[in-house]
Amino acid sequence: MPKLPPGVSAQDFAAAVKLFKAAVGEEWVMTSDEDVNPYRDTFSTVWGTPDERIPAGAVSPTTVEQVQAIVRAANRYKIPLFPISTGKNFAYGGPSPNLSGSVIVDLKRMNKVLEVDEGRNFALVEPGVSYFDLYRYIQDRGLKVWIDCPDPGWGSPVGNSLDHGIGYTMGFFRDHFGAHCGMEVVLANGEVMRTGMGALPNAKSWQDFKYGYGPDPSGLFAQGNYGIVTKMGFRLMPQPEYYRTGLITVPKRQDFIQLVKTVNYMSDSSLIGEPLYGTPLRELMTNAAFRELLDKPGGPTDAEMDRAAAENNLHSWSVELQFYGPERTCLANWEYAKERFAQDIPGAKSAEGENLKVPLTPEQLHTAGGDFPSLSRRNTTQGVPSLGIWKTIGRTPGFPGFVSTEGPMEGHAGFIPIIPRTGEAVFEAQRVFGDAMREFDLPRFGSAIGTPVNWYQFAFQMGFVPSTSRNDPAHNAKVDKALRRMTEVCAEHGWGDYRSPPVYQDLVANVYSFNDHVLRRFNEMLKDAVDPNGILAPGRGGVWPQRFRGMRKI
Amino acid sequence: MMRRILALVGLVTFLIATGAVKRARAQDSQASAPQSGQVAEGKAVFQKVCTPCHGTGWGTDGAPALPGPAALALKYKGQLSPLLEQRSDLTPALLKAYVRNGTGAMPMFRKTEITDSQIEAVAAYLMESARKNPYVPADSTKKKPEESH
Repeated sequence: MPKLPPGVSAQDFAAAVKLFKAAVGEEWVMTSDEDVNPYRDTFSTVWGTPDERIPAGAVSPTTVEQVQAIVRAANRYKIPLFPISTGKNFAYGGPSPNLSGSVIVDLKRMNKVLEVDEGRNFALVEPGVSYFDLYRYIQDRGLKVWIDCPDPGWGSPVGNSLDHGIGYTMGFFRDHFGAHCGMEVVLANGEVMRTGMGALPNAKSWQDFKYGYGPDPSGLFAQGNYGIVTKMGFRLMPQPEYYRTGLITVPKRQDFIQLVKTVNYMSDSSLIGEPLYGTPLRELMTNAAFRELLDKPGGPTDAEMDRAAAENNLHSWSVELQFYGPERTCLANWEYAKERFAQDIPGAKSAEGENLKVPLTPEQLHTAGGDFPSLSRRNTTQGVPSLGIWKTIGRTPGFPGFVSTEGPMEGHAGFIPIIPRTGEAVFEAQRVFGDAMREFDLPRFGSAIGTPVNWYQFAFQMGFVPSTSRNDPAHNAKVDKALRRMTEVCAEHGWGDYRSPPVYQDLVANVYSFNDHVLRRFNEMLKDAVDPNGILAPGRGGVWPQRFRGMRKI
Repeated sequence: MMRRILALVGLVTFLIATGAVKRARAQDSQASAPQSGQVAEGKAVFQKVCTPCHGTGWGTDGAPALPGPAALALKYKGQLSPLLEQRSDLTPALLKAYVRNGTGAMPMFRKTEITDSQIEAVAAYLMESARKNPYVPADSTKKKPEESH
């Protein structure tokens, strides 16, 4: 464990620790190996290597005033800080910092739900509030509002949104940062700032209008290092009356292009929630000849894929549609969808899903019904947090000894770049991913049956999510090499990642290089102006303060 | 190749686990009897912090169990209960070793998430719940694994 932040003397660190203890109490300043160890990232691809990012200590405040005191002490002794909310950002760094030797500002104990307004449909929370906490608060009071939660519910709305996290209901709410509404921030000089209407002292509309007047700096605090967010508002979805699902399938490979266009129309007209793309051809993966076809360098031709589909009496693509709202409206939108897809794509078929009154019963929440196997994860479609997704890692029925066909399964790393929301872009990504992955001894993440996710309403993402293990450094090294290479390959095609663990943030930020990296230069000019001592999360989002700029690792 | 990976994973896991676990067992020999208030506190903490993964009942999306019991059922194959609330061997120091170090897919938990005294309270609750609702292995003649969890 590093004992000191870089460039800080033992004497200065001890003096800062003394001030931290004066601010939050002796118990909540942690510097022993035993206490600091849980601030490591158990999903790290560089676990146990010199590149792993390990803090020197942690300090956990409960009030805004304590955060201010910590920041002032850090400024005095030039201690790099790294704020976390609940520290559960696994696959993207967990609780670990960008710079080894940082002191974690652990905001988990700032855990108050400050307000939930059912009529105006918003929540105002502190950083340590988890999705479980907020859900329980709403349920205990019988409020008719929904949260939009990511897969594991132990993360926080503040932390997840500040790393551009996503959810699974209607488009506006799935973009967690986009659905924020006002924030309070402790700046690097210790001042407290509020954004939007929160800047107007007597305003009663902080969460109603997030822009206020003038430039809105709130975007700087997401994947940024310009302040410590201590309160944040979020739009909530009114609890819908009904939830309905339906499936559309289309016969030919090239039909995917029009399928996406029509889904986009329905999505952008707010007629549907998250569309779930799939392919009936996946069932042919038990067929060696089909696997061989997919494995062709450059990918199979459209004719070859259409022949495989026709010979097996299967359609090429599917999309599961989800409808939220009054029962009659959901039905009308589904009826419209069936007509529209049939009109737009010759041979399109539909299958009935479910029509359920909200809230769902425990049985309905547990297992999706309908005339087709659903790709949805039912809890998240209903704004119900859970840890059910953890069933996909660790010991699973298919891999009871931890080790799957792709290696040890104790964690995973996420590389899920943004691509255009078109069928053409998906075809290109399938080919590029498939060919690029050939050089790695890892499972193939790209093939002609790969489908995009549409978490962000206006973009597609194609995933590369390899496993990691604290017990297999050789496997982690392969994954590390693949992630680095795929970042470069994707950038050559105009695709960049949306979110990354600390160890890859410099690399990811580096491909956003338009006009000689002017975006990064602008961000670092701002950084030096508002945080001259470079104490707040040095390196976060690829933004390094002058003092540590030489530590950028490309 | 797969056998080599399995062997490596097993060896490293064994080394990590046995060190922490043996120290934990030595400390547990000095543990005192739980108080009723501690059991109640432990139950509340367990329900809030642990049950999202280690609770009883269904998992999600058709899974028959939550991830914790599902994984422990695969590990113990019926020799120990997959439910922590039926485990009488999870003494305070042993529980702390798992909570603070993590195991497999379970990450490490920080003091800000669960304090040392809360871990002790959870251990007291688990001991009490296991006493009231003991686990009976399907084949009780099988030998218990040397190290658990």
